[in-house]
Amino acid sequence: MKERLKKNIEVGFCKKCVMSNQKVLPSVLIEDDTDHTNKDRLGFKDGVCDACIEVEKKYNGSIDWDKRQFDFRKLLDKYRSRNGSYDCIVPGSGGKDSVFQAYILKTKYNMNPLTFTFSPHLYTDVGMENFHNWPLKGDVANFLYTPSGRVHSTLTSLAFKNLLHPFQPFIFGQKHMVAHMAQKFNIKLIFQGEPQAERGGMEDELGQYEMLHRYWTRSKNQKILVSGLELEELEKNYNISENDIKYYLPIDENDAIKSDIRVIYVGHFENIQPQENYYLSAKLTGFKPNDRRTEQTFSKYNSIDDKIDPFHYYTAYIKYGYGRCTEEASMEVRERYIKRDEAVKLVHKYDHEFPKRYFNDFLKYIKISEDEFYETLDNFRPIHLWEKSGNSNKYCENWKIKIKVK
Amino acid sequence: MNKTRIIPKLEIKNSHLIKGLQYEGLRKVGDPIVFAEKYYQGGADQINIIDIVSSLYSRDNIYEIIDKITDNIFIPICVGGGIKKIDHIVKLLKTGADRVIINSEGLRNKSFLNEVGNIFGKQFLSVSIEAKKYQNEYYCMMDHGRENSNIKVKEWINYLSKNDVGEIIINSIDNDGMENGFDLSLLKICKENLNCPIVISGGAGKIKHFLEAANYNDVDGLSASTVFHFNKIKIAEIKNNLKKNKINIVE
Amino acid sequence: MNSVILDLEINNIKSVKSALNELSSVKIITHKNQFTNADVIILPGNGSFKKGMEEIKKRGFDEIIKDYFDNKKKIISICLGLQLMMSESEESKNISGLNLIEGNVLKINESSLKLPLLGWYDVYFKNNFYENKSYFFNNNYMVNPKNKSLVYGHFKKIPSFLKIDNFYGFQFHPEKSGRSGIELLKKTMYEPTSE
Repeated sequence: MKERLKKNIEVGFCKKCVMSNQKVLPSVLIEDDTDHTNKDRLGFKDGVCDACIEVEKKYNGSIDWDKRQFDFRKLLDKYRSRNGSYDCIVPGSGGKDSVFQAYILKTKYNMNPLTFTFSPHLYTDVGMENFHNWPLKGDVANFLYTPSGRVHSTLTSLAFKNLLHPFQPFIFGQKHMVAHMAQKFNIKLIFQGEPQAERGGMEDELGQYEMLHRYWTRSKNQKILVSGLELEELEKNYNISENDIKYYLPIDENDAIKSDIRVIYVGHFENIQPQENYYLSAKLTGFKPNDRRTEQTFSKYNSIDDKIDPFHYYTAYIKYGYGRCTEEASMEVRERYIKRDEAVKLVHKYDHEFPKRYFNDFLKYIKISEDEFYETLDNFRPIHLWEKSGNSNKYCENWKIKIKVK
Repeated sequence: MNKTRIIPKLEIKNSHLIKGLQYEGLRKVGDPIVFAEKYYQGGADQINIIDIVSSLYSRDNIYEIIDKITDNIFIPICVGGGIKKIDHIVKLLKTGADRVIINSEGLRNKSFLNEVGNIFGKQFLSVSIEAKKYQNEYYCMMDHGRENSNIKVKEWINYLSKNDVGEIIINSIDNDGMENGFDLSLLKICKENLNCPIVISGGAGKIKHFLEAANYNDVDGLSASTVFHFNKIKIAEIKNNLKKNKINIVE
Repeated sequence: MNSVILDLEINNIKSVKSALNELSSVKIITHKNQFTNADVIILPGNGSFKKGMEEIKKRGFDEIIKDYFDNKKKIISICLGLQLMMSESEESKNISGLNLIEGNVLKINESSLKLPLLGWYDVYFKNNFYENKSYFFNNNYMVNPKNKSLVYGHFKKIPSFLKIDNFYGFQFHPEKSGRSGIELLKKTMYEPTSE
């Protein structure tokens, strides 16, 4: 049974991977509430998390990949362009996963994808290089949408202060902008990578290849909060107009139906393995990993294009008690690259690391002081997860996670 | 005269031979013992074996692997990966390692290199450099390309040239696994400053890459993984080509 | 045939043992108390002269080696093992060697060579005693015997193989020189002892 965020549950970890039961799933906007606390938690069955259960199906022979790929081809036959026009959208950043998706759609399924990128807040050098190389060497056309810095940083700052979720505006934008573009460009298919169910979410999508409307569209007058605020307030007090906020918001469900726009998971038909995508993209578009280990984890190839990115993971760490390393190590266990005991060692080593490389960039971007930053963390820090310990002048070292994965 | 050695490099995670790209990724290749045998029979002059996850997990698997490899292979076997203590080295010696390869601990603690040299002799020590280009300079990385030591390759080589080590293995992180050729500009940095044997590693994809590097003034060893592990080039082919082009090789 | 390897515990003796396993029964000892008898003793070595001598004395090996040398019993010395037979070494001043072969140990001083001597080099043997092939070297210093006629094999001006009756001293590592090295060890092991 899933628990709502508002109610605390005792900390526990998956038996197979190292994910914590404190993990929440992405908001279902239609059901969302003022505090965005109306989220479901990751589900567990007999001590194993739903993500493990779902990913296991990829490897235990219960999926007939040939049949799925046959079905995929048949589905795509209806949409494949016959005159060279773009017939689908691949949202992405030029990272290994989007490179793979565009590549497989083009070469295996003869589709003609148009790629769209919602700009990171602040590009890292390697991120910019990888992004640029995607159209340059990957033979795709790309539209980059960069919102106004004033708008984006204001929303990010408000999301940080109100929700301790600085990444929310970006997540909205990244997900919803492409639906607007699909409307504009009259393209009916939008592709996503792995089904949400593989991360443990969205039970009603289990076994489905299409994202349900409730997860990416809105009804006409449905209230959506961004950064914890209503749109009227954003306009009145922060000078963010309806036009400024447009692409952060989902399109109307009726419009989606009228234009016959669908969001399909490539991962339902093709076994998406992040590490294999790395090898492919490194050779195909010259995708470069980070110049050094990414902070708070062991990897160099996951999500490395945004200087603000580490703070998405770090704030989640404060709120839910598990860090970036837990997320990535769990994925690698599920995809059978590492064993659980190795994942545990990695989590102990890296999960608590403070991302100091771009800390000043982050403070400057959201226009707060270091003190304000720490105060905000403390406002959200749940007592059932954290305890005070130590007297270091490095603020974050004075808090310890009560229960670590074993 | 000096003979250019062909040196297959094996990267090990637990009991598997793996091969990454640009020092990332853990794609399994097979059983390291089988591959080491194959390379010995195929004419390798030396084999370098690196435990690439020792900085993350424990190192116990490597001892068993070296022990088995040295039962039947009679060329130098050099072993590295997270070597931090003298008793790691003693343990490796017992299993048959001829030389140790040290990178991270040397950068973190220079005196460790001196200690090793004093106890076992300087010719026993190979220093490995993981070179990453960052903002137009080469930096020495640690822990299998994960941490930046903030020491420039130039500086480190300068230090090593005054302190007598057995040999230097210079690895290009950027070229690793990409099959576009060795990074010859790294050789240039080494050549200008070092007077000890140099082995170049990272990026070989074609036979001509080996020749290019060998021609670069006195490289003593050419090390590669991808072309050997995936059967793209045979050791004998490289040696024949080098010999044809008047490079001294071990027959 | 049985052979005994004198283990100083500062270098790799596994390869020597593996190489000899096919040719004789091999025992490894770390102290003279473990010694009973042997058709051939082997002194391998890699490391510093000072440490080498310390360990030899500590383990009482000097007595065994002297006994075998004086009585013309078969000895195989490798690398540092060979250097320790000399009187002294530039590497470790004020440390005496075993002093069984007159001469000292010098730092290699050949302008055309990089140091340490690390790699495969062609060795020429007197009277084709062994095959003239490439063998694996790994050393900074070389032996300098007073009596040059003891040098039965050399690479450039570097003495690579000394033979004195039934003493066989290799500067290079036959156990690391591939098949050529194994052949060489085989011949040495089966070489009849001269009176």
